[in-house]
Amino acid sequence: MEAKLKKIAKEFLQRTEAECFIGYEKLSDGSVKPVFIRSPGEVDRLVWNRECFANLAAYLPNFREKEGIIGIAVKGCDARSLRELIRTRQVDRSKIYIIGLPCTNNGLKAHEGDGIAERCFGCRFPEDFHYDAVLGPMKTPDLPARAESDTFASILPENRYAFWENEIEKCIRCDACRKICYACFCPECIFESQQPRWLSRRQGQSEKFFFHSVRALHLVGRCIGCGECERACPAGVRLMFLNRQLQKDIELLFGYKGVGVSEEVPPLLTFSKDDPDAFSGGSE
Amino acid sequence: MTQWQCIDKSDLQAVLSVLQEKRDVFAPVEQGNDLRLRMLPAEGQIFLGSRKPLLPLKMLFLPEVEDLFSISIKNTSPHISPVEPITKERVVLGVLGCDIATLEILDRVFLEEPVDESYRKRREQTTLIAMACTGEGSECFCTSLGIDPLQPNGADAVLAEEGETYLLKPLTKKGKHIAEELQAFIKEAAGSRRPKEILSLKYSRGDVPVDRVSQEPGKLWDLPVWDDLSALCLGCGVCTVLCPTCHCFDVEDERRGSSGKRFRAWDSCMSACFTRMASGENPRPTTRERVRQRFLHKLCYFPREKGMVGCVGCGRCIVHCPVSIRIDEVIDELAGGDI
Repeated sequence: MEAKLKKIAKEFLQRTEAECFIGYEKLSDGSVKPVFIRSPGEVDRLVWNRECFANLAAYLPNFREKEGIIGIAVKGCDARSLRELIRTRQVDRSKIYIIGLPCTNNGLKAHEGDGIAERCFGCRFPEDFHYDAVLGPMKTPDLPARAESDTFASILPENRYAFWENEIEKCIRCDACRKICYACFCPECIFESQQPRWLSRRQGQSEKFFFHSVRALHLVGRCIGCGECERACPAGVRLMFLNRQLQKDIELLFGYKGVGVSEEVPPLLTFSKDDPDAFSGGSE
Repeated sequence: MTQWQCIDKSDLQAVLSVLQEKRDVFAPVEQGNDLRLRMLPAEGQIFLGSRKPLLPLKMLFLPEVEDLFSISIKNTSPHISPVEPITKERVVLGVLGCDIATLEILDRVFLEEPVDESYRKRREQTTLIAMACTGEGSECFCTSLGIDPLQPNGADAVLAEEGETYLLKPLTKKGKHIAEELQAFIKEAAGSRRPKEILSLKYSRGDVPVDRVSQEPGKLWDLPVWDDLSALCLGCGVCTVLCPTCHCFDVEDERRGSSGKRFRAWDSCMSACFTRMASGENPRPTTRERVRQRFLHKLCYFPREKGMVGCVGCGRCIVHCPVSIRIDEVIDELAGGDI
């Protein structure tokens, strides 16, 4: 399959309008990192295996100003975020060339230990998404859903605050979770604003709680559950406990099929005239 | 020449209690997978061995957040009260050579004129007991920076593990003072045994060519490596927060009613707002300039200005970079670019 990837990427890069190709390359220690290939002669660096964790779609908004076409390798899960970036006009579909990477029923490797990666639980490929080329049929692999005991809701209500306090106490406010997220594309983030400064640089629980709750809530209906935030976190904060729950809630409350699974607009980014609740939340 | 002395591992708790009588004692403490420097007593297990705590030693000398003074206004006249940075002598136990070597780097920033008083006080009132380290993993390259992880310079005493005992060797006056206080636990002079004989270095890449990186910024400024790195780098701050030598801070004021505080807190040159001016102008507008600044500050500007490399090869940035950027490879690249 890698040979096919290299061949397609090479053909793409031979086109005059090709700017670069975003894929994965293997490091000497066997791990995999994103790579930006700029000439057809370099395509041998490309790999596709169970350690290709990064969601490469997150890099695309950085190329907005470029004239040429960007080639990109995306897994089915990443294609969901790419579809959302296209829908929100962060990425111009006519300026990207998408190669679909099909997964096997083994999924990706867990980042640590045995088993499958965070993102692979309850995997859903966007089956009607249009790729420019594929390495094989882009069909949703057969992967297990998360066990009920792994969700925030499984923690007793009286213990939830303590659980979350314990998690965010570990946070070192490095911003890796925010910067690696495909959906964090605001030109100026509330956490970067200096005037007004919404978030103090203090490292107390209240600052950390503010950061994490605003971030999680801002991503409701846009988080594809790729788990990159949790993988990037150097302190091991279990961010996905909250993200997973919010995803589940919004699907349950609004009958939402999930980010990028279809062309459906995320429920919190739209409105319905048939909404049974009052507009203001108060009585009219 | 001071001899190596011997303390039973089973006496560790008692030793710590003695030290804690007069001082604040800090050590790496493990909670689950999380290893951090904490003040004792702390929940979790004290870890003495070849493993680095997540946040580096700098946190005890330049805290993540530090109040500088508080201010209150009574009858229209402001009253300013300074905040004492430290109230007690401190002992830090179990830190590794790489982290200890960072203090020499930080000293050149905070102890040169104008002296940073709170840093100076913390430095003077702290005794450092290092742990002889055999290297943690493939990220380690302290030996390339001239650091001896088995007996680090800058420590007041060094501790090494041998079977059921710890070997202790005081290296300075402060260290001797501690050893004297612990006389009751010292079982025997360990004679000729030295960590170098009982321990051998497992990891630490010794051939990272830091010395071959040019000190002429002009020669490094436009290398293609910055294009590759800036395409890849997410612009988060993991590397700067975890770096034991990164020392930039920001100052912030906070006000509640008629009183307030001024504090400083770690800042990161990887953030766009680090250099953004009031007018909106930003001299480092993209990740390219910011990535270049981070590496060249350590590898070119600092050696040029202060006479030493601003990196100790601890490899925390290598382990934790979410996109696997490796400073050792960047150094290889920069050194190559100069030949």
